[in-house]
Amino acid sequence: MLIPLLGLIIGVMLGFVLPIDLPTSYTSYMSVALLAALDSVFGGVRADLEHKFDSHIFISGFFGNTLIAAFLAYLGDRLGIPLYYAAIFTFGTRLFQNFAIIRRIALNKLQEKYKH
Amino acid sequence: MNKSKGRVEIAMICIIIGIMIVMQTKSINNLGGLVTTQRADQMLIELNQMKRENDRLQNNVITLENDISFFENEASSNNAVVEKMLRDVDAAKDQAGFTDLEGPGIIITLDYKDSDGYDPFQANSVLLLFLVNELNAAGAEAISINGERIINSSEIRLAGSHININGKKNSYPYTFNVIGNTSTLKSAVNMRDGILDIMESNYINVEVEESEKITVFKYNGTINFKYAKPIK
Repeated sequence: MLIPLLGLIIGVMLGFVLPIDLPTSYTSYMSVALLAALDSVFGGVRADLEHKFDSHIFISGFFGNTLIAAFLAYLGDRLGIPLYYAAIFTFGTRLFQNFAIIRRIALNKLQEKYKH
Repeated sequence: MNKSKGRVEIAMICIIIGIMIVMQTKSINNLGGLVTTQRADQMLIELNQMKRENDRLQNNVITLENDISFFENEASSNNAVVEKMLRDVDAAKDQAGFTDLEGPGIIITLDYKDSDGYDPFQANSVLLLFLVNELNAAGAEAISINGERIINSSEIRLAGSHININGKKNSYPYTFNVIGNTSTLKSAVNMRDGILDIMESNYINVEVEESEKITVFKYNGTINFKYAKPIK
């Protein structure tokens, strides 16, 4: 569980060091993409804990979800349909579900550890 | 081992997420700080209240002007009427911003100290309007910016590299002279996530000063309604 956290910290530091600046008009698309990315990672952690992790599904899911979420938000803005609500709802719900399952697995592991 | 391989990939994706998070926070800061939806809703309500109040006051001014012309007609015949008329005219002038006023209140100074060519007021000229809005909501009785009295037809808008107030060009530092209840005004502008916080997150230097005696000069223009006619 520590390696992903380490990666996150490295990423944050890289973000501060690298001179990447997102145009302010793209913030709403970025936020949806970020949510999709977080959902993918939670899904990945869950699959890892369930020993069902497949790197192809994980990587393709990450990039696919992120790009589609950002694209849908953009398309929604152009068409006047707030499609990003759909992305936020879907990914948000899944995020909580995945977290609930991760929590259950982790608690089970802890219980088994202390039984023996 | 299959298990650790998965974690390495997750860690790599986490690096990307970290970069995304930082980019997002950076651009939100560039947008002018976080404005919560509650705050936006609250400001919308305040704005609507202001609009209604403005309409009401404008109606008041129109009725008072009618009164003036009525009293002027009566003036020749009755001295008591003249006296009352003069009092009413003075009160109406005070409210409409046509007299110099004096009283307790606060002085807000907005400035930008760095000389790097960036002008936060040009980038976010609306902030001045928001501040006037907040002050009015907090019961300010008279406001002037750099000596320009804010009346109900005053505009605050970016025009080229200056901010026009009452049709006159202004640039920073901006000094707001505000007459009203000192503590109410201070707490209204100093509210957490309030207007001065937003200004400071936009690199504006803010100084608030209390004073027992503030002078707000009168509006130096004239108001002529070309199209609007009072309904009789």
